[in-house]
Amino acid sequence: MITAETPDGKKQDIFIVDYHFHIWNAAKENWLRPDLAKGWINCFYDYTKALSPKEYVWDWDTYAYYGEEKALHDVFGEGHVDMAIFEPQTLNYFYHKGFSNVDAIGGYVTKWPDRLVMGSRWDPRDGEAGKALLEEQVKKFRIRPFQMRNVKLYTAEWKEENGGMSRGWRLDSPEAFAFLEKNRELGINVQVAHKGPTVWPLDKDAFDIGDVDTAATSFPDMKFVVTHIGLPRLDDFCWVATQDKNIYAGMAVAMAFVHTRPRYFAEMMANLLYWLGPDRILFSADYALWHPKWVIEDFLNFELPEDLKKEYGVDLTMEIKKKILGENAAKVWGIDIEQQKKTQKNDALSKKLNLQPGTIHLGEAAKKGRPLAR
Amino acid sequence: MTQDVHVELKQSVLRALSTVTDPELDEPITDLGFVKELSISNDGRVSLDLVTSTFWCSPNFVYMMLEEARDVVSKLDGIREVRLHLEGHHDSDRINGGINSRKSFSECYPTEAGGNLEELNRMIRTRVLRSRLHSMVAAVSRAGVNPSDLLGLTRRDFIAEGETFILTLGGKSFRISDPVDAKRVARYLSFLDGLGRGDGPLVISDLDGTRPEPHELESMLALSRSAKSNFSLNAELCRALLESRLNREEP
Repeated sequence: MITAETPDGKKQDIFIVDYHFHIWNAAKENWLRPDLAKGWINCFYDYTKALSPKEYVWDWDTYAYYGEEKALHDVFGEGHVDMAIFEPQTLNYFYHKGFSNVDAIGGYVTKWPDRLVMGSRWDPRDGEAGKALLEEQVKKFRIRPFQMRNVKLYTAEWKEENGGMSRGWRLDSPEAFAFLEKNRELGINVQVAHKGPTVWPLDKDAFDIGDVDTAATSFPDMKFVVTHIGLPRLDDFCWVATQDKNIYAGMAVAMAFVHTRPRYFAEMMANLLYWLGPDRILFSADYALWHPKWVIEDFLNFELPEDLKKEYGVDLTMEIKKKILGENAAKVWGIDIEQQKKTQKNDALSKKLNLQPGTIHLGEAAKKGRPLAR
Repeated sequence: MTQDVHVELKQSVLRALSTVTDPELDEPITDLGFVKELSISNDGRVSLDLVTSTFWCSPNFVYMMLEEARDVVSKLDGIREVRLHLEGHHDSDRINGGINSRKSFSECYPTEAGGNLEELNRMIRTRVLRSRLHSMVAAVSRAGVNPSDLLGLTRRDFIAEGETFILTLGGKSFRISDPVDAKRVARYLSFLDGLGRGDGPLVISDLDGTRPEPHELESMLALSRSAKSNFSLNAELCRALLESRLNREEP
């Protein structure tokens, strides 16, 4: 946990929950279709290099597979994060054992159940076998009340089907709705929707979130988190999330603009606060795309520029930052922050990494971003 | 072909390409750095190498962009043939084959596409309308015009004068002379003209040319502002990604 001290001497404890975290394996040995597997991890690497401070960019081999030890050290040891939630992206068409492997995730979560949060995934094209697997995972990994409450729903997943290849699926199909029913039955109430470049059929807009809108309206008791705030369709996302109060803005990818492109970051925050308000925005550094240490420190030091505050009629106060960094996600996942603070004082990970409370002094390097050239 | 004619032809090809925008960004592909290599043979055969900001750009938007690039260049005087080559895309071979043999998107993806790209095109152009409307309104606001006064105007109330624009409103004239603001006005007006709505209302809320009611203005402008933010965020990310990509060493 981190304590933020403002220039007026006020101190605030901030509990940080990262809703979108990975331990992936894109090492060459795991490449099933080398062009696609390589294309995937190289694209991630480009994202990292595009938005990271230079000193945080690793060599390619480390990036392709960094493993559990490094992830724990970076995220919890250096990175100020208190809890990190897995969002598996399996990509079984590209990688032998998946880009993220759900069984491996189960193993990590079993070791560190008060820090790492198990999330699974499904694909409506998996049919009954997919539902049975989900049931098994809940039995095995619901080892805390907040475990196995979320699934990542990556609609651009490629899959071999009936001798051909399908490049995606939609969340508003009858097959997907059958899985949502199963989720309801199993208490998996957080659906993390993630769009990618392709969908079925291929002439449709793969990034359209109309299907999330339909699902969110049909399952009002469930929460739907839209990853990277709907980008590249932020405007549609804001509009839909204004109608459906069970839709949340997942800041994975979007967060990373804060360092090198603070003015763009300011504009996206102003839009989110204007349309959704402060209670439905969830933080993520999207590790290992970006290191949470700099993302969190920059975010805590970030202030909305005056012209945007005035134009949009919103502000990003310390109270709101605390919501975004952890309180909002805690509510969505049913995490009791006060209880977790007590548990984590003495949990296995704090012993292993010798975690100590840290303080960050704010205000010296407030990042605002100058207005863009008109 | 003489050296001079050759240089001139190359320039006219680049000028034509600068009218092609990435549909998801509303910025010219020439500004975005997508045109990697252009060569023209002495008998007017063009070979064009293109690159997108990622290996994963959606095939449908890439197809739209490439079709348009092919068509604007094909139309030029002195061009006999155009061959496009998209590099480093997950579906390069298929897309290049489709574009160069002038297949439609659904012919290129016969088992995977449910139709052609009209619906996508309409969705994108609605965003472009909103985003450019926001920019135009911002520009005239800076010249002292109240946005709500724009509702009663028509497209013809804007007159171009050199590099500037003059808006006539209630017997008063407002000049948009800041070069960046004038460009914003120009881009909005050219979009209206392209829709065939050069004689209609100045402010429209959809591609059918609907004039918004006064009580709809505020929410329409908020929506337009988010469309503009969306384009500028996407474009900035794509520029950053392309730069990373071009500077990456292959593992």
